[in-house]
Amino acid sequence: MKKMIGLLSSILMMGVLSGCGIQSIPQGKNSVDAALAEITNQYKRRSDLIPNLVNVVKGFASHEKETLQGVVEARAKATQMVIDPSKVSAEKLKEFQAAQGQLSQALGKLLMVTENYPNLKADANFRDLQAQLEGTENRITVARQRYIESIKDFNNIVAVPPTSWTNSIFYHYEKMPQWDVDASEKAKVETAPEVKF
Amino acid sequence: MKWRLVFGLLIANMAWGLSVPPLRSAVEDTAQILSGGARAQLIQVLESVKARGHAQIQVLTIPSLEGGNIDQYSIQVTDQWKLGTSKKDNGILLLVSVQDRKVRIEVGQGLEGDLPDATASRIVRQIITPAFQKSQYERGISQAIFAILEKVDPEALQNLEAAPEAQARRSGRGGPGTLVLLILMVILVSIFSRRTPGSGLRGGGGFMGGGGGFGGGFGGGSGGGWSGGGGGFSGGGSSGSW
Repeated sequence: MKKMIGLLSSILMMGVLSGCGIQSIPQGKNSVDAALAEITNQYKRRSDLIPNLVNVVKGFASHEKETLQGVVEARAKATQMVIDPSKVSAEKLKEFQAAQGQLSQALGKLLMVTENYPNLKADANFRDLQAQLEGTENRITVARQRYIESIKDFNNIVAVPPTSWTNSIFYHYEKMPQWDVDASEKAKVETAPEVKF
Repeated sequence: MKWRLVFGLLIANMAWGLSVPPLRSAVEDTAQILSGGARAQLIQVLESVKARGHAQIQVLTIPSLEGGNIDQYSIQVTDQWKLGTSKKDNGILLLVSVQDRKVRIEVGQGLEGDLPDATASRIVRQIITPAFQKSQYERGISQAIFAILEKVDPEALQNLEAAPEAQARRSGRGGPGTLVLLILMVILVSIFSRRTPGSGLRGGGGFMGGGGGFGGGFGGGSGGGWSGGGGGFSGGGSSGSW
């Protein structure tokens, strides 16, 4: 009987504790960190693909030096920007995004140029790399969506009662700045889907 | 008719985007491009594969993305259905949007090594697209499933391919050979599923929210119980159009 009461009360306590945010606030913080780590991980995956891509393109389109150089330089800049997910500032994030955004643009240019080289486009190696690059870009999109979601959830538990009371007593977290999609990407997201006849 | 009404209501309920249909079987043919027989056979194959524990493969066909993006809709579906197990993250979704002529293979985190993007892309380009261009949806989908199995669970494929008629599939001949193969497949699958009792009986919760009107759509008589197991997806796979 005593055991039963102990069990019941501990279950009750768990319910109370989990509802007040004592657990969910640090958990929320952890998921935000993890979501950001996933973004950096996917960006790294992208930059790991680039040397191979550049080499394959070089083999078919060697005189597109400028575009290739642009990609190589943007990649070098982007890989220099490393962020530590557990202590990240809004400015640092902005710099990171800017560097990755420039790499995205350089890559976009390169892929546009490849349209002029049918032999390159037919190359199996290039197609595989292109598929990997597309997959990685998609993973980046997904990772960013999840990061945005996790920040939203975190900000909610930090700012909305009753969990916000727990936060102001124990944790003193502040609301996190939301991940900003830069202007060029916004345009990309907002363009209407193409119509095919 | 009822189906359409429910689906329409679901769409109306969503604040944005296209809604995700309820998950009731391994082949959700909302676009109705598969014959009842082909669908039943595919379901049986996919259930036997899931019972082996290496992968949960799901087919979803929709009439249209309604202006949406296939990559985004696909992750929306997998976020909701959570194909594969939470431990292995071994789900795969084959998504077809008929009017948009778009197709995507979404690969769960745990299978990204067995089925990397480049391989998924080859399956889309070399198997699905050519068949779909000739409106051979059944052939495209089942051959894509075989190609996926070859990568993620080759042993399951060997079980299915024990019959010599399987060669017909490889050489691309359709017609009666395919039919014989499918019949053999069903026999093999039923033998196989007898070996792992209870595999098709778990849950039953898969019917949730369905109501009485849905029962008739089930082929194969396997007893249902198809649901995701908490598998995670991170956007791996490949898309294409035909």
